Amino acid sequence: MVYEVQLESFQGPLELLYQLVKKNRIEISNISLASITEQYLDYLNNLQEFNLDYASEFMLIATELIAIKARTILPQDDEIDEEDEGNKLVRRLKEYHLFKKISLVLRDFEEKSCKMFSRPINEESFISADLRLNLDLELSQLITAYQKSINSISKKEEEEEGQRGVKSHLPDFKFEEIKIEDKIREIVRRLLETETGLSFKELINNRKNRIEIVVTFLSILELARQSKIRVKQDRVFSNINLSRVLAKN
Amino acid sequence: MVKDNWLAGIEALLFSTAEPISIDEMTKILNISEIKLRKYLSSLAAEYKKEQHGVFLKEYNGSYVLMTKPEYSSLIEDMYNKKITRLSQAALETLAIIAYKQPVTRAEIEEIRGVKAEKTLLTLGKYGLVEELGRKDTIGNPIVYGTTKEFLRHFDLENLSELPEVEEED
Repeated sequence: MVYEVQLESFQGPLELLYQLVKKNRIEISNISLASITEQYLDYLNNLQEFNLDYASEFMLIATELIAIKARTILPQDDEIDEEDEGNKLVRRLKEYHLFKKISLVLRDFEEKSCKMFSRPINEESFISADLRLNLDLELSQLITAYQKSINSISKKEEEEEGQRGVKSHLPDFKFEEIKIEDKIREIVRRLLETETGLSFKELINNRKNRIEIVVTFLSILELARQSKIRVKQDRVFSNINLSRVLAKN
Repeated sequence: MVKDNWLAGIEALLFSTAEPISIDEMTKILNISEIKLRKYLSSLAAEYKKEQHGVFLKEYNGSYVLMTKPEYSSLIEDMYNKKITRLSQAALETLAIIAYKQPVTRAEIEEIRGVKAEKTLLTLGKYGLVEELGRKDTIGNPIVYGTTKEFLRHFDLENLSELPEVEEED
C-alpha cells in the first residue's frame, strides 16, 4: 500500500509516526520505532512542499528516531539510562495513541447524542416577571407624564414662534443625535450622584427637543427592564420618581 | 390548570422549556410532593417510550427535558435543511486531552498532539465546549483550559466520570 504523500493529511509528526505504526502493525516500543525510521525519513524526503512551520517538528522526531535506531544497532552498554530520549518518544507516542482511542469513544457519544434534539429556546415570547417589581405604577401613568412633557415642548415652540411673529412652515433641521446608550449612562450617573433619587420631570427639565424626551423615556423603560432602576409614583399625577436598584450579589 | 391533572401539567411544563427543568422547580410550580412528582414523571416516561411517540423524557442530572427520539433525526435535519455538525478529528482529540487532563495549558496539549492547538482551541471556545479556568502558577502564567457543561451536553454525558477510565503508563 503506497500512500499519497501530503503533509496536510498528517496532523503533525506524531500522527505520521502513529500511522506508520498502524500500517506496519507493530507495538509501540523502542525496537519497533527503530524499524520504521526509514519509512519516516522516506516520507520526509518525498515531500514536495515542506512547510517550514511544520518542518522543525518533523525533523525533531526524525532525529529522535535516528538516535533510537543507532542505539538499537550499536552494542548495548549495560549502564544505559532507562530514561533516555528513545523511551521519551515511545511514551509520547503511547500517550498520543491513548487520546486517539478516547477520541473514538467521544465520536461514538457524539454520534448518539447529536440525533436527539430538544426544543430551541425562544425567550423573546416571555416578559421578565421581575419587570413589575421595578415599575410601581401603571404604564399608562408613565405615558401620561410623557405626553405632558411633549405637550409642554409644543407650547414652548408655539410661544417662541409667537415671539418671532411668524409661524415657520419650514421644518427645523437642527439635528442632534442622542443615543439611548448615552442617555442610559447619563441617567445612571445622575442617580449615582443623588441620595434621594430623581424624578422624570427633573430628567427632562429644560430639554428643548422631542427627540431627547423620547430617548429619555425609552432609556427609563430599558433601565427598568434590566432591573437597574425602580420607577415609582406615590399618587396619581404626582412626580414619577426613579431610584437605583442595588445589585444583589 | 385542570384540577389534579398532574400528568398534563408536567407535560405542559416540559414542553414549554428548552432547558432541563429540575425536580425542585417542578415541585414548586406544581405544588406537589417530590414523591408524587417522581411517580408522575416515570409514568410520563413510560408513555413516551411507546412507539407512537416521537419524543422521549430525557433525564439529565436530576433535571428533565423533552427530546426527539434518535430514530427521527433525519426528519429534523430535513425540516431545518441542515446537517448536524460533527466535530473534526483534531477537535475531538484536543477535547479528549482537555477532558482528561484539565486544567491543562495550550503547551501541554501541543506537546501531546505534536501540532499547534491555537486554532482548535478557538473553535472549541466558540462552540462553548471548553473554557479558560484561570492561569497556571508557572513562568508566564499560561491560561489553563477545562471542559464545560456544554461539553457534557454535546456528548450526552451527565458528568466526566462517564468517560472511560484510562490507565496511563508512566
